[in-house]
Amino acid sequence: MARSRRNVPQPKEHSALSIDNVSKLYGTAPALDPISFDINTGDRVALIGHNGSGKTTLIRIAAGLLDSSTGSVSIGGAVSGSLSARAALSFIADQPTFYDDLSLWEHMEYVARLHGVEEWEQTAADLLGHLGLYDRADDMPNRFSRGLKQKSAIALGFIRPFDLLLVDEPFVGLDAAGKEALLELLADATAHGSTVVVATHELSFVHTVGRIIALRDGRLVYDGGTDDINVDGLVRTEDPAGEHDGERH
Amino acid sequence: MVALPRISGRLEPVSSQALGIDALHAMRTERRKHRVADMDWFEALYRVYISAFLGGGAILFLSGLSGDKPLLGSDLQNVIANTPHAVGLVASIVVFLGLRSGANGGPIAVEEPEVRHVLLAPVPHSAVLRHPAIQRLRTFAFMGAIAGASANQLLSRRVQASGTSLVVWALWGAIAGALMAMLFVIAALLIHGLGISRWLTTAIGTTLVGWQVAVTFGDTNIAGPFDFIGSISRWWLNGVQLQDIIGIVVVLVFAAVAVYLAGNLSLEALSRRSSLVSQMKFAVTLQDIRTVVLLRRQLSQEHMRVKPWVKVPRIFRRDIIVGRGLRSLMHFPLRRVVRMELLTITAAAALVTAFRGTSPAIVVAGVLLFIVGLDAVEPLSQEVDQPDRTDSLPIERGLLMTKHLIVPAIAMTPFLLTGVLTAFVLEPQASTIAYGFLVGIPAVLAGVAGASINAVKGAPDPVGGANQGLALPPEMSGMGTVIRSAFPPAISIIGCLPVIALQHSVENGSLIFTNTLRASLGVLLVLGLVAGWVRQRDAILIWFRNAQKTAQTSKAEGN
Repeated sequence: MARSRRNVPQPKEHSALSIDNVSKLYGTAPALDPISFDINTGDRVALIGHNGSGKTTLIRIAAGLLDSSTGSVSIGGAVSGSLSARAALSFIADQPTFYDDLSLWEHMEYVARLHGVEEWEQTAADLLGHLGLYDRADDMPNRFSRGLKQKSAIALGFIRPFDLLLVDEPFVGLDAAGKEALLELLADATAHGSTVVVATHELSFVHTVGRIIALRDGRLVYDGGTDDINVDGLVRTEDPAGEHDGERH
Repeated sequence: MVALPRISGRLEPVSSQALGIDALHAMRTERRKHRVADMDWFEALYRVYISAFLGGGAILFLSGLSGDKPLLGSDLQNVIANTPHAVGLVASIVVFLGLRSGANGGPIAVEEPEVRHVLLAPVPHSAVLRHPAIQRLRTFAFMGAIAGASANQLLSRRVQASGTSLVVWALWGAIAGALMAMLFVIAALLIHGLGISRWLTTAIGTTLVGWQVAVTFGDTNIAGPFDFIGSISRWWLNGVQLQDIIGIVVVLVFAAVAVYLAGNLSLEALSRRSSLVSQMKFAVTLQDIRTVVLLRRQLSQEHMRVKPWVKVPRIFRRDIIVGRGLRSLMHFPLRRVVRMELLTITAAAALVTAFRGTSPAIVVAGVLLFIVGLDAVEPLSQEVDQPDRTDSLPIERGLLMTKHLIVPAIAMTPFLLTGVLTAFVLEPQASTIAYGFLVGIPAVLAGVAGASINAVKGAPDPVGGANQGLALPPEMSGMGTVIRSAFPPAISIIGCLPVIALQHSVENGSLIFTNTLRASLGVLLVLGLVAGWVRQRDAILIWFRNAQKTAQTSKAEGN
């Protein structure tokens, strides 16, 4: 499919997230071809693509966890990885990780205070209650099931202030109540002016966004609005039929 | 709805930074308190006592057993003159490895949650990473000190007229060893912190090693960059030297700069290493060498070549297992082949050292060849890694694994040639070639044999592992684990014994060739038994389990 840009708002002076010519090579294998786009403050964006399309790579580069091979990322005008960018960005990874020796409540305190939030307790209690984790606050999240770990990671992502929320496959492993709670939190974040970018296949979220960015084999294949868009078609891999000659050594 | 904390439109982290650092310090203190509170002090002190007593005692006892002849006259002068260069050469290799580690994202590994929660928070990275950098320096300095002290006290037994006590020898060795190990961490931190590319790192490392090699083996008065470390280990001769003190100060300055740069370490590398290192630590506690090898390769991002070096001709693929092994070798990355060559060169140098009178050097040679073997038996290890597939093949597992020994044994040929060439460079006489092959063939094959045992013992038990070790009382099972772990490298060390036969025959001046040949044949016989064990392992285990069951049944009936 040809790359298209439809219904995309023009970038403001300082975009919430600016991806400029970013590419990634793992050794000599390209994971991401050079990609550029801007996301404005308050936007709600779905990043979609098939497995291995480069969604996680792109989102990790934006979060500062991966170094890009070319190009640059800025968050609210600050270089990705800088103190300002880290203060503005909350990242919820697809694989939650926790300390072995801290309870969920202690994690909440630690993350909140690392981000300068001194009055964190009420928010933590509200968040854990909202996600159905209040009774597990004193347990070790490292021993939780996949779904509970995911909920804990979501709670940690929301306990601290942010302008931009990057979330990688947050719906995997969540039960129906968990999905609903997360959708409410994401809606609340955008309602308060934060920018939300979610890499997901979850149609219930994709249908609520104003903009879709689709990747295929490391290339940007669609960046535009959601009107009349076949999401299934965007996440399907191309079948290079007839390209194999059957010859192998 | 939850009242979320927000900072929209406020991107200045100035106020939160100080709070974040406070939180970091507070939580680190709290976690340390937790650990200290959870610690069983009596148990910990007992472990330290046992480790120090048994470890130190074992080193001193084994050193006393070596019984090597004292260094006198020209031999002693030779050692005195060459120590700075030779120890400097080892230090240069350590620095080279440190540089490579830094280029691959080392040497620090923090916990994975530390990367996600702390390093992504608006807290200066330097405040987070300086502490683990200092910890890493401290740990390496301690380990280096122990290694240096052990090596120097071993040498002191051969320099009987030095007039210096064993403790002082060990002290100077400890300082030299600590500096050498610190240089590994410093080099890695500097390269990683400065973000120097891999090719430039290799160029810097090669230059330093090349310089040190030139002054060690060349006829020159120029000092090597790391001679001062060797000179410190030789303080027993002339006492403390000012120029060496300057060297120590320079190392400490570099250490300070390296720690200062810790804040520049790449999050990508830290994130990748954090999970791998924790898995590796777990594998080490299980004495799972194969997993350690695999994780180490991932840490250094060592991937198989996608395109093989050469296409394996059809004639060599007639036997599918041999063909599979050859294809695996053709995908070996260049750096693995180079590493195997360097390890072989070092092993050959250790064997020459043993021939010259330092018998314990065969342990070094044996362990190095075992490591080379671990790479060489990759096709076999891959097979063992996938037991479900192996067991679904219409071929007996023992036969499959025995056939997998053929390719690694043949693959050792170029390494054997490298080893013989190294020995010839160090002992340039025509007879070195002949004796090089006589000693080298069993040595390299024993490396493969040791590694094969290590690989095959990871294969599933043919009658299930649940009843494994039932014949042993619980008090013995710990010792059993130690023996099982030490056995594979021990086989590789046994493969180096012919050099001792050669050394003793030369010393006594009698039947040099015959004695060495006998020793080599003896080792080859042992290696034949290893191949037989690989072939019959399942049958032996089944027989053993049945015998156990019969004995238990008879005992029960007797009662």
